Amino acid sequence: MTPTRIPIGPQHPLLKEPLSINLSVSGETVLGADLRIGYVHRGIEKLAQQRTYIQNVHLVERVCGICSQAHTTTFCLSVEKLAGIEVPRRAQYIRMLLCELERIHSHLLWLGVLSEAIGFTTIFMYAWRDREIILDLMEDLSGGRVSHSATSIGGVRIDLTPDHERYVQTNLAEFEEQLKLFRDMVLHDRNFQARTRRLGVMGGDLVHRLGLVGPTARASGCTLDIRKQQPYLAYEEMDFQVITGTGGDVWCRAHTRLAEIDESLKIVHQILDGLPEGEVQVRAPRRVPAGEVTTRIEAPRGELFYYVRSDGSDTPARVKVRTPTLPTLASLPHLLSGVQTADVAAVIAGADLCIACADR
Amino acid sequence: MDDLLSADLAAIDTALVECGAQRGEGPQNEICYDLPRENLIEAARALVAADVHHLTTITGQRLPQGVSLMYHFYGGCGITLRLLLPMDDLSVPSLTPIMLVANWYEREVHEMLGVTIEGRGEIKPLLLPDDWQGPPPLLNEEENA
Repeated sequence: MTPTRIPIGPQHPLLKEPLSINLSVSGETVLGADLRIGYVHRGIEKLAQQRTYIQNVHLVERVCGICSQAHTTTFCLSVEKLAGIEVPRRAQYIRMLLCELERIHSHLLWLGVLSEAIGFTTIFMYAWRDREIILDLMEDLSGGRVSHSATSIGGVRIDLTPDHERYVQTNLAEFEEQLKLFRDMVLHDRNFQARTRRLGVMGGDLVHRLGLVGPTARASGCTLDIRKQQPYLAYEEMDFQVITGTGGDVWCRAHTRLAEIDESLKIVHQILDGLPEGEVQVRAPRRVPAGEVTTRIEAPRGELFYYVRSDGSDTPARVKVRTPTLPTLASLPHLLSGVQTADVAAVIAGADLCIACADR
Repeated sequence: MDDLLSADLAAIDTALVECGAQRGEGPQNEICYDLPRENLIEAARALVAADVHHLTTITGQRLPQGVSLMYHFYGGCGITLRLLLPMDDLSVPSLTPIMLVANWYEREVHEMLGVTIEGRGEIKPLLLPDDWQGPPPLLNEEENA
């Protein structure tokens, strides 16, 4: 039988971001898929060469609307290494707090998107409702729900007051109570398991070859977590586990992410309990000494990489950004191959894609 | 995957030097090796043999002396293979047959810097529009030459 081609996108109801997928199907079975990205390419790497370091903090924040804190943290860490700036410990803790809150709301957002794709609208509603608790916390801390502009070169431009700390503790208690519902759903709901078990399976060997990172790779047994392997900020002082799974299917990715939320909450509590006193910002020079540096951090979707080269001026000569979604997107044809057309939405949603991140 | 995190750096160093690579001054946080492009595939094979499979990305940039390509690997720490391509011969062998992950990174280097990837045939655009007519966006000769 001649394969039928089904074009999906770039605008389509599954994802809010543009992605073009050309499926090749035989009957109900997907034979392969061609992807086209770039619909939200903004040329951020090129733009960065025409902006000062200070302007670039706000530019890279706009690479992504979900993990904006991860981008500003990575960029500022890079510039601080080049300039030899020692960031105050209190600022490192506050950065870490925002990074972990971001991981929690990103994982919940993903759970909502997946639930909607498999027709489990109730969980979609609950997940996005409870994600608001975390977004409200971030807004209370920084003034912004999505673009926080909290990180600056040399520290952070916000500080935690006792009121903030109380507000965070109270709201986290409410959030932790709500989490039980999601845990129960992933572990025990028959319908959720029927739609996600043994679906979109990614074996450890393919994870290697495709360079997958983050919770998607960890659900297939990979232990790579930059927070543990190459600790940055103050992660070496934190007690947390790297969550891994063995199944490598969509269910395992859900389970891994929910367990990671628990670990992030552990880190948040340790940050609040051990928040050092002191300054949150040191003065940074406008001109950065010539040199080049690479920085890796663990963003919500995995290893985020920045390369920054300075020529000694106030503008970087080159900024390279590699987001974790890029290898995940490249793996999508492998994930889709062999699945039934009814499961295509669940596999795509289950991959945890951020198209704006990949397109830059 | 655990083996990826405990790569034996001394053994890797010996293997890469045997492939014609030389330790060089590179980005902070990376162990950097300079090598001629003819030795790229051999060096990448040596890294894979030493259980360093993870290619984080390829950074390409225009420098006064040509186009520099940095292949950033990760095996517990960053290991970079660096090539310098002269402006009159911007071509490099493809790593995709050895590691699938290189596929999209090579496409990006091709469209952003005009580097020909040998052994891949025609390369489709990754980020730029299909009807892009301008020069490769990061090959800004006036600014960097």
